[in-house]
Amino acid sequence: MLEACSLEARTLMTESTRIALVTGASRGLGLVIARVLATRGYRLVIGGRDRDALAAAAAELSRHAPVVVPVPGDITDAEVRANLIGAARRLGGLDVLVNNASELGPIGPLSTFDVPRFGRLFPVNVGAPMVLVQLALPLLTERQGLIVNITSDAATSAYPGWGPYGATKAALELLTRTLAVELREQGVSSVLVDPGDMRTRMHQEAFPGQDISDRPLPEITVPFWNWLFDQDPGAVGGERFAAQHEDARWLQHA
Amino acid sequence: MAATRVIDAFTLPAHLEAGEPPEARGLKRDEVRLLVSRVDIDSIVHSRFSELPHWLAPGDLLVVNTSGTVKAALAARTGDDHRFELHLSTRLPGNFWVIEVRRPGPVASLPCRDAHAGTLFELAGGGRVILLAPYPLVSSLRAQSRLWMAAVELDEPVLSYLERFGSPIRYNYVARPWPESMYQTIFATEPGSAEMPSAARPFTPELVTRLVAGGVQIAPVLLHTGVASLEDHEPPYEEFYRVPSETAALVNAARRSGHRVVAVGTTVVRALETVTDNRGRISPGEGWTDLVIDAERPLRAVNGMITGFHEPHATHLAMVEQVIAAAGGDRSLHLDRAYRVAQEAGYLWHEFGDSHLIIGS
Repeated sequence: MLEACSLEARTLMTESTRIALVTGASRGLGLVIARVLATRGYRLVIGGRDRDALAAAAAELSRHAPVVVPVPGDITDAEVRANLIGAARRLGGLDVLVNNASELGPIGPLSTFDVPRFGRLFPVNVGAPMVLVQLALPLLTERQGLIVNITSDAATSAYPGWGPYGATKAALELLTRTLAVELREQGVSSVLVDPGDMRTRMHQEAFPGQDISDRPLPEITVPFWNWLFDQDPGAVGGERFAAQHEDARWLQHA
Repeated sequence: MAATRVIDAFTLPAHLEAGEPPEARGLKRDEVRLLVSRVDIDSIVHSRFSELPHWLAPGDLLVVNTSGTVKAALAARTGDDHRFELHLSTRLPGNFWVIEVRRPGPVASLPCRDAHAGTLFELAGGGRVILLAPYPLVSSLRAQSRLWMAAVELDEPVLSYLERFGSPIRYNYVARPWPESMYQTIFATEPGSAEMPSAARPFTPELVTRLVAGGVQIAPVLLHTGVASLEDHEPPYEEFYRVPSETAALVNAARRSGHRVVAVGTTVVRALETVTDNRGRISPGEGWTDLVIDAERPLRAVNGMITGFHEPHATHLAMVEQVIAAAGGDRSLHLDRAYRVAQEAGYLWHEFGDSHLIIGS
């Protein structure tokens, strides 16, 4: 009898295994977020442009995550987006969608900004996350899931040289706040996360040739992610978090 | 010139050899890892065996081997009191046996080529084994050989003798003996395999229930495995098989309706392909097969497979390449990539190791 009960509990636990999708997960912040989810037992769908780097990330994550599906490709490609969501559907749904992939674009004064370059920045940083949200919505609704859009303090303040990137993130912030309101009724929550300055490849691209080793590694955000994924999505929906905020809730010891 | 392929060149590091059953590593049978190769889109996914239902579709046919593992290793001695270990590999027509002669080693028995035709071994309980001729008989009776055709003289049926006096065959990457139950799959109904048909080892009753409830079909064949050609790169030799008419009909129906025919193990591929004509139709059959699947004999019925990870140069790898081709993939490129990934991610090799699912669309 006891054995039958434990068997049943085990089956239920397997059934309730959660599923997350992280874009830009080959390296940097995306890989850190995927690692946190993997150690929490999530089944993962991960996206990234660099096929080999993504395969290496998948190999590493598979030591903890029960399932890792790498979907290589550019998220501005409709087929790649459909494959990402299709993979989540095949695993049984989606609990967490992390729109992390983004592009920095040219860093420099607006006076000389090659405006047509917006032609790539907006589709990557704003368009693709919005389409992924649209495609994922039936799955997220079914599981009362969470949308996490990665932003930057360049979205809210004027940093010389960062105008175009900041503009895309500002757009993403407004859209995410709007989504939070629009989707609340159907039980889907949306949050914004500003990870802060970090020693990542993207950050290095913003400061070519400069030493950025004073910036912390993206692992500094791990306590935040663990805290966030502990929360009931409904309780955090609509918020904007600064993951490196010094007196944050996730650094308080209960 | 083509780049060096991993599968031709890799040496298996010791930490990737599964030296004990997954149960000893704290895992349930179906909690071993499953590398999923969707070869038609060249996609490689990391999964667990328990997640298998996600990767199959309703109507897909899994074909399993119902052969049970026997305790095929016997201690033996010669008249001059030298100690040996004999592995009973395959019963041949006329009740002769293919046996492997080995000598005791520090961890497990070791290969031995010193025997000669006419050698008489004494077994516990009064049994005798007499070597008749090197197997296969390709040169002279005096040739050195690891495998022999032999007469086995016992006072009782071989299976019951092995049950009483034998132990499961074990190679030196498995450091200590494990109970016979560790060497049986849940599908085993008819004992006769010298080594476990290990591809089906991770299946559990719960998993089968979930597969069936999801519309996946399961059909049986029988193939009694002989000893593996692990230490030498020999071609596979004859093994006894049986494909029932009901299974033949199910495979033909699955193929007609465009569903996948997924062989659980190299033994199932061998049995099914033995009775497949050159238009891909399967007929029931029974007997001994010496079929080898490789580039010269591509697959006709099977187009998917669950298997373990195989050693470099193993003849099984040539078969795996053919499954990849049958599933619509680039056979050498995909296999190379999959094996690279499996090593990078720390998948485990051998009968107690992890699994590889190879399928197309």
